[in-house]
Amino acid sequence: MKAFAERTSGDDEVKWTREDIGDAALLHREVWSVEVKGGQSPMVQHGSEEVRALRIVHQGQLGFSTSRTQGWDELKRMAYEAARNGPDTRLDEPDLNTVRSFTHGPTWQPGYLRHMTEGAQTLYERLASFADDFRPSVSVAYHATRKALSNSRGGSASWEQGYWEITAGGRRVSGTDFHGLNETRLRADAMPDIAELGKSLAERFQWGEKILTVESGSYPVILLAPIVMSLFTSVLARLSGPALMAGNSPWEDRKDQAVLSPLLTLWSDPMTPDGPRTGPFDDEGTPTAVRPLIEQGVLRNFVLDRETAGRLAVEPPGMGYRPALNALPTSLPSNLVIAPGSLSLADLINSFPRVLILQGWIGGRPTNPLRGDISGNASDLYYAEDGAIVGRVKNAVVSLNAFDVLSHQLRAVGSDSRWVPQGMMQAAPGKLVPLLIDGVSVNVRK
Amino acid sequence: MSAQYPVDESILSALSAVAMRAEADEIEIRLEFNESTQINTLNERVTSQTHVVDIGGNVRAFVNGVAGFVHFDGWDNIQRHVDDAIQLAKWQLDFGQAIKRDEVQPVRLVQRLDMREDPMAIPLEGKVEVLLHYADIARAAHPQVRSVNARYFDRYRHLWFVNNRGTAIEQEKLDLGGTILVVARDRTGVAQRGVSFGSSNDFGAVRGLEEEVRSAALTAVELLNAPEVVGGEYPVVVDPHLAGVFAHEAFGHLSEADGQVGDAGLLAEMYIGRNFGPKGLHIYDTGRDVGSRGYLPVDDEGVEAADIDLIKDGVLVGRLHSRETAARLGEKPTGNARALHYRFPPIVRMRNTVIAPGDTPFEDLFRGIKRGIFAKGTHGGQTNGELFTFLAAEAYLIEDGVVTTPLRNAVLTGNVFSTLAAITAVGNDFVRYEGGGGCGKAGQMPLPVSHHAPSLRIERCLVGGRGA
Repeated sequence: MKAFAERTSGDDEVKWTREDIGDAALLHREVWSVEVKGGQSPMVQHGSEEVRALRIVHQGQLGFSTSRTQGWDELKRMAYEAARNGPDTRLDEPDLNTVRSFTHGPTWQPGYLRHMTEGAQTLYERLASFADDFRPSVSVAYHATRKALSNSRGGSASWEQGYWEITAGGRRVSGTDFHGLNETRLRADAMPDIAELGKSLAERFQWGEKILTVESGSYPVILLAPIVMSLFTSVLARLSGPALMAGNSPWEDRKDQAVLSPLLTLWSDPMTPDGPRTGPFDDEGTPTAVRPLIEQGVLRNFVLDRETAGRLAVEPPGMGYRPALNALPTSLPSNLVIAPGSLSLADLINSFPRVLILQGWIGGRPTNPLRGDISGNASDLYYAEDGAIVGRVKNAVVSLNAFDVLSHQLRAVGSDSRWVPQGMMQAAPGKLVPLLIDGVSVNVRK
Repeated sequence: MSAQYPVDESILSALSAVAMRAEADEIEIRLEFNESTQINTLNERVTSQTHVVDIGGNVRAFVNGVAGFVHFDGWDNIQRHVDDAIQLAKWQLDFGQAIKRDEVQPVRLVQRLDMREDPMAIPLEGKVEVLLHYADIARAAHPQVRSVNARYFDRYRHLWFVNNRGTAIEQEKLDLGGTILVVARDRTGVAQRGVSFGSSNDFGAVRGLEEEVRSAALTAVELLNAPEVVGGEYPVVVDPHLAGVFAHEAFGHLSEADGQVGDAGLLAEMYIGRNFGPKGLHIYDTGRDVGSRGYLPVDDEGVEAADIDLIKDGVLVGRLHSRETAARLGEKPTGNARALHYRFPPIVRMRNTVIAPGDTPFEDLFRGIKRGIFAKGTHGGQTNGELFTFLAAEAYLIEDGVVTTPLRNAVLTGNVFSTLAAITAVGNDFVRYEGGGGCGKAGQMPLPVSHHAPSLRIERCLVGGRGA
């Protein structure tokens, strides 16, 4: 077995020949985290990963190989072998000499671990003070990624990115009522504000202390950032290159036409200073730019990597990212950003005499992303009357269609942006704002 | 497979020696060799294929109740990783939660795979051919079938695990599965239906799905014009596939003890002996069902699998444990500590969650339902302990005991406690369903699990939907 762990000496760089068409990525990721949950052993964690990934185009077919331990020569051999049965490809390679290496976010320093521990301790104590039977949960993490890319055109580029992620919340169980809270803060330029997060969670805990029931019916609902992200799963499904290639997207011939509300502008934004994916080029080495996907409701750009851009015979827009370290780059936005509106959360609450505020739902994802129907069991739903939040609503199912609510049901766009991390269900980080939607169907268990 | 990667007894001996001299209350060292293949096709062509080899490991150390966890690629510098994990465990963290984990009998075990049809012996071309064959069948089924996306994966794992209590285990594991997803489209919209498969020892699970694929294609077309379900409370009959997901989401996750420890409110509800459902309801979790994706004879803390009754005769009788949660609740470890990959520490997870068959014939489940929903298959589910949701892949209206109109977007939800109590009949049509998805928790997804179940009838189930 030992042989698997050894690389051949002199194997630090890919040896490209004139016949080769392809690219190679050396990807290194480290994560440090401090995790504390009520009733469990605290855990301090450090993980490091190093992945080599190589793409080869041979006789019009794509070969891909990746390994955490094998050397470039072996990977190249494997990629050529894979290309024999690989998919047809239109992949080409960018000129990497036009891009410069960059660093985004702070570089890890050992002293950070003490800050993380202190931050976790402070937040944990703040959460534990909510109630004697509140079970707190805190995770403070720092993610650092180094990537080096080279290709058969002779160019190379490298970059480093780092960002903080703090997730905190907890749960209070009273009888069969679970009052759960959970919020995440991401930031690349500095550690997120622990006090602000603690304050926000305390406020939501207070909102939810009183339990209410409402009648089934149609309500104006303010969707907060995590819910907004689940709507955009459907929007991205219609915009993505693979859906266009499969002929599944109903928007395939709607470029430069209105598809959503004129209140809505959505970008793939690789320039925002606090974004986890901020950088001047994507995972394929294609230069990036701020690209409107939806501009005042009009479809401006599809989400394309080099492969799908090649098939559509358009310039690659720089939206080829790896969903996981050892995965092929695919059509994904950089940071998904909604243009903020002018109304604060308080303004949105004051827009109707009675309004619901949805922060969390169970199962709130589309049964069919391209169609956009979503129903979720509201786990974090509040009721406001005359501008004041009066309690937490139980036993309610919120049902909507992503495309309906983002077109004719959208009444206002909020101003308070929040990051939602890339996760198990969403393939890009999003900086999203609350949306006020009218006429949302709410079914309540009697 | 074993011949290709021969056993090296010196690996366990060397790791044991490192673990035994480590200065920690407890230490675990895991090394893995993972080899996986994934193929995606669209209609008649391959869109991606990957073959990945991962070699790496992790070390978990416990010092004064704090865990230090390090994961790494490659097998170099094991001693340094052990030292790092101990150093992290010695970090100044005092939350007053220190506990000594349960002592378990040391296990010394070498476990080899016992294959029916070895996927590693099937050439890539053979795997692709099967997927493209299904695409042909689906596209020929109806002109409104717009595309067929097929996904296949297999993952071979070879693991070495030791701790400083004398446990030394070498294991081989296999997981394979996939989905044939048929998308229909017309001028009004799109609809989809899939066929899923999975196994832990047999490539044969991929074969013989022709009729299911054809049926999925016709169902997708049928769903194109189906009206959306009208939201509200209904009596619901769920098929064995959906019933299994219901057991997993609605009760299995609640039974995971890492969600209970430190939560006085929840423990007051989840006391052993509490009545949860009807007399005929029997739910258990097992790691000993050979061939199922939840097969796990030894867990990732080196604890041998036990069959755990969770609900018996409608009464709560057990829960799922790691060594730590067992110690905290004064119960026995159950072999449910699992890690998706060496990049993750083990946490409490299900294996194969089973609803035992009841005695109600399938047809009788519909008897007396004036207006209800028959839900088949699922696109997945989710829970937060109290609430659950699952997305039915197909749904039909039941009118006067007869299944009538197809419906779209049926999302079945409810409160776990009240919904289990609302089960009024358990079918005798037990099915060992194996799908190609997986379970997600704490960022570890998709973990291979299984759900075996009969059909169920549930009264007053809340169904989401905008239809009117």
